[in-house]
Amino acid sequence: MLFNSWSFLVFFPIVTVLYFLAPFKFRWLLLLIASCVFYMAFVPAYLLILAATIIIDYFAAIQIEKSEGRKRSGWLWLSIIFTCLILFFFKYYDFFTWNVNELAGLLHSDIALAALHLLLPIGLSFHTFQSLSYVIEVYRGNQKPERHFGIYALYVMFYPQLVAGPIERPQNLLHQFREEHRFNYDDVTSGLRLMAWGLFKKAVIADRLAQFVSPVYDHPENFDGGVLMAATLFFTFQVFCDFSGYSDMARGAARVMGFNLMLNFDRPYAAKSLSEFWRRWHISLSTWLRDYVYEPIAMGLRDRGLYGIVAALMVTFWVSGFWHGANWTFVVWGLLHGAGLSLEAVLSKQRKRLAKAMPAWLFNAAMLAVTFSFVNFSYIFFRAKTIDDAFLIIRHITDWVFPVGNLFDTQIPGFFDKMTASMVVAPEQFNLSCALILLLVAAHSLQAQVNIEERLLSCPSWVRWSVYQIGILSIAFLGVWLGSRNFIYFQF
Amino acid sequence: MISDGSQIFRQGISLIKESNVSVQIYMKILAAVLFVAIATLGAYSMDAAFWISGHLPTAKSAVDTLETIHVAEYDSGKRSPIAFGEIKNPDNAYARIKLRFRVESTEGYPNLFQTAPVNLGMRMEISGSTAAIVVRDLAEPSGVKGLTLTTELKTGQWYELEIEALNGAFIRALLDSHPVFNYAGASLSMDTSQLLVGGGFDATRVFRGQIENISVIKGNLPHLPHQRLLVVYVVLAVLIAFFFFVLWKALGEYSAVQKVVGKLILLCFPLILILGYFEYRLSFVNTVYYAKRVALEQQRDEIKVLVTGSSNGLYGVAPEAFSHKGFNLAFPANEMYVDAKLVEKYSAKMPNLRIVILTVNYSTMVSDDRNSTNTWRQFFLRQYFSIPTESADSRPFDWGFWLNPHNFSRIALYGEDTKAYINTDFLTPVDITTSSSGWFNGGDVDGSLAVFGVNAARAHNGHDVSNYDRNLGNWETLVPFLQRKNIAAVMVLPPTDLSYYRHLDKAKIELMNRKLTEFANRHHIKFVDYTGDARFSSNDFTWEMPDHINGRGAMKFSKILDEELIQPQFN
Repeated sequence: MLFNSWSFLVFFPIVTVLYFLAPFKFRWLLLLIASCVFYMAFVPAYLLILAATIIIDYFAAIQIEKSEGRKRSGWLWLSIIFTCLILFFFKYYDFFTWNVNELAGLLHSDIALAALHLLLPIGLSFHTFQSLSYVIEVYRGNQKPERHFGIYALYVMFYPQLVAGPIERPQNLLHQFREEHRFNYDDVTSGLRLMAWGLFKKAVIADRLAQFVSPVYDHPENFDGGVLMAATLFFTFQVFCDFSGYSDMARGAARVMGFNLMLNFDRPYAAKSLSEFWRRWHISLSTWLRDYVYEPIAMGLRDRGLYGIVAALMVTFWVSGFWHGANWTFVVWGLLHGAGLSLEAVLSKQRKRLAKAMPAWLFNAAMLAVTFSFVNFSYIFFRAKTIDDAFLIIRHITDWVFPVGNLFDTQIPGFFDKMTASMVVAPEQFNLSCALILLLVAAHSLQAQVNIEERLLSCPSWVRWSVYQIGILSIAFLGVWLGSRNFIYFQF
Repeated sequence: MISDGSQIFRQGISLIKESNVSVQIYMKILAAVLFVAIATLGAYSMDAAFWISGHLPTAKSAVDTLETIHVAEYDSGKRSPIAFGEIKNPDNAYARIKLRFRVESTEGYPNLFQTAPVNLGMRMEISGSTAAIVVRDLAEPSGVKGLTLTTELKTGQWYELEIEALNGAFIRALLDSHPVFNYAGASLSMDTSQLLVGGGFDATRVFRGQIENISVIKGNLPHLPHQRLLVVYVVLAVLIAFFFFVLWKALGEYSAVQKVVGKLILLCFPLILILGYFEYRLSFVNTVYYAKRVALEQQRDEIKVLVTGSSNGLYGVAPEAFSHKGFNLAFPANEMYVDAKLVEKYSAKMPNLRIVILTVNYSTMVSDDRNSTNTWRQFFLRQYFSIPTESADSRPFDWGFWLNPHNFSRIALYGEDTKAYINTDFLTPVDITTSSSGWFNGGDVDGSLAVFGVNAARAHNGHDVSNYDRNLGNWETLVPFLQRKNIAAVMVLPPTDLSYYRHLDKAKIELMNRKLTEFANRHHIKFVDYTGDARFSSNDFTWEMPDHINGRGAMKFSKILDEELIQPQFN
């Protein structure tokens, strides 16, 4: 079930009340059952896949601890291969067959693999990575294997973070299921505030921006560069609000019950470099990739100097792109970021010289603009349905920005063939979307100076209550509650 | 006795005080009871409102004064504009004009029709290639509102036009069967003193061209009552407020929880009140489901003949033509499951009911709306008639009822349209307007049915005949139920046009007829098949749906039903 749905509005208070009423020794069971109910609201049968990965990883971790030498690494690789095979089968098999068939066609071969058109189990990529981090941490000796099967299952299936993260490390989450959490006024109220903020970002901002982005990106050939640029900019904020909104709701829901999930977004568009961006964006994934992909490769190639770093970065972001989806657009997006980070690594000395040569404020502003522009540009590939669409969008934007003598000499259809923004959404809706983006930027700028939540709590009660009331009414009446309301990252 | 009673009461109170049961527990029990009461009243708000109505001494009449006038044609060179009379009472004055027209000249701002002279009413004006409806609107600075029908009007081309208007409420238009506008406003103030087709505004603006198949339905509609719904929603608001208070008090022993819950209540209560207001207003928005519930409840003591079915029955049977009081309880895309549930529920409330005409057709027999594009209609029946959805009915306990807000929330039911309804002060009509007898008059226009007939037949042929048994199974208990109450049941296949009928799958039709005949024989009821009845011609069917009878055809069919099936019941 979606966090922004009626059924969750019924589910969440019931589970929370039962959680606090239940004796401590049964709380893990209650949460596990609730998590099963939560997951089965999507496609019940896929619970079996989750169960299979849980069972394999549970036993593998115990065996890893008991074993030594090659047996120990054997259990690790068994777990990794099994888990990744499931991910490959459901998420990448059809993409794989499509590429094989295309290649066979180019080589005039008779090979023709049949696609299976399987529905991707919700959250598969997330809980796969979470399970992998568990067995790897056990293997590395950083985490004792969990002997209680129910607690381990709950670690994988804990419903607030089950379908779209944060991807939790066992060191952070596992022990919390063994601690008794009492009803805490501060945790509950701050958790509810976080959920409300997350819901505001999702329902009011992200879903509203999607009403403009989706029709434009679904048929980019119908729109001129200005509209496409606006849609790309809107998507930059849509994906942030959608994903961070979900993460905030997940963290808030967990916090209400006394659980602490990791911060997943830290004002990423305030980053002044790509490396800083990845320290602020989808932190649970970027740290996972850093710890389990980048660092092992970089360590292995440390004798190669800068070449080794670049190779590690490109492989890591190839994995990142691929993790996001079975489409070459995501791979290109990932490789773009890998290339950008590699360039940063190569030019790090020049960057430092430039920083010294310029006033700090000018340097920061320039770096922020460059980073944001790069991230924005890369989202063209992230959002476009195909590589061809992505390049079409880039061409149209370029020709719109440089109208005299088309840079790519494209054939632009006649004026009346091009749709304007007003044909996608009403002007007042467009203006509202822009205003909401500005509100978000203002909030993030303020957050850089002062902790907004603490400041709010120190205000007089009439100010706090006014803010809360405006927030609730905004969510209710400005939120987009109908049409497709799925979270973007559910598709990963 | 009184002193004994008060003594017992005092003893009871002191016993409670002496017991170890705390007040908190009573509060919790009370909170639980209130919660159940609110949930029940919320889920059955419509039934509660009609229960209140039924127990009050006075009830408004739901009868309308609609009349249908059919005129064949107007030719500008051959006759003067046709007068259709007036609607004396402007209160809830209603007009539906359906016609085909072809313009020969657009010079001089010709008017196709009007309801009153000058700009006092509603008229259609042509200016060059633009055709628009001009209507008096008191909210406009100029006093008139222009609603464009088309900006690409071509001379010499035939167009089909349907305009429907309710004074003080809405105007909507279809051009060539495509919706053009649906404008709502309480400031619409149409005079209806002179309904004229072929001219308007003044004598210089006579229409130059041809108009044919003119069908006018005019009169006054009854106001949809809502006062009892207001009572229900006020009671709900009070109960919710009381529940919150009791809940807050019940949590007294958990001060932190009480504090959180108290603050949440204070924060959410304004939103609950606002949403509750929208729920209330949406409850009586102009939809066929509410209008029929009102009409049915107000006439149920008089009804002797009940008609059920889907849109074929809705269009095809006009109880106005019966010799005994009748009511048409058919709905668009109704399933046979719903027919059974409606009859079982309401036959008990109709003391004079003698016969139920169960209209059935090929499309109904093969349909399965549990997971189709028509599933949303089940929720309308759930909310307005308390008929559980078919999926829920098949389960011993509808555990998912409260997980699907379509079961109880009007806002969820109307979805995206809710904002539009709020913006137009809930005056926008949701669907069709039926008469007080529940019949939908499809108008009397004729047209080329061949293409539509083929398309409709193709669509219906695609369904699965395995649904025959499932659908007919819904009537297995219905007929014995009626027979036990000495109410006759008759199954009827309404007439359809040949352009549709000849393209139906013969094997499927044969199988359907066999199953219906077996059913009728098994239950000893009459089954009459009027599909190929020679008394009906193409003039008796609607433009766009040749398996649906038009107004003229409905009157004819209803008289036939009256003579052949109804009157024998009473003789």
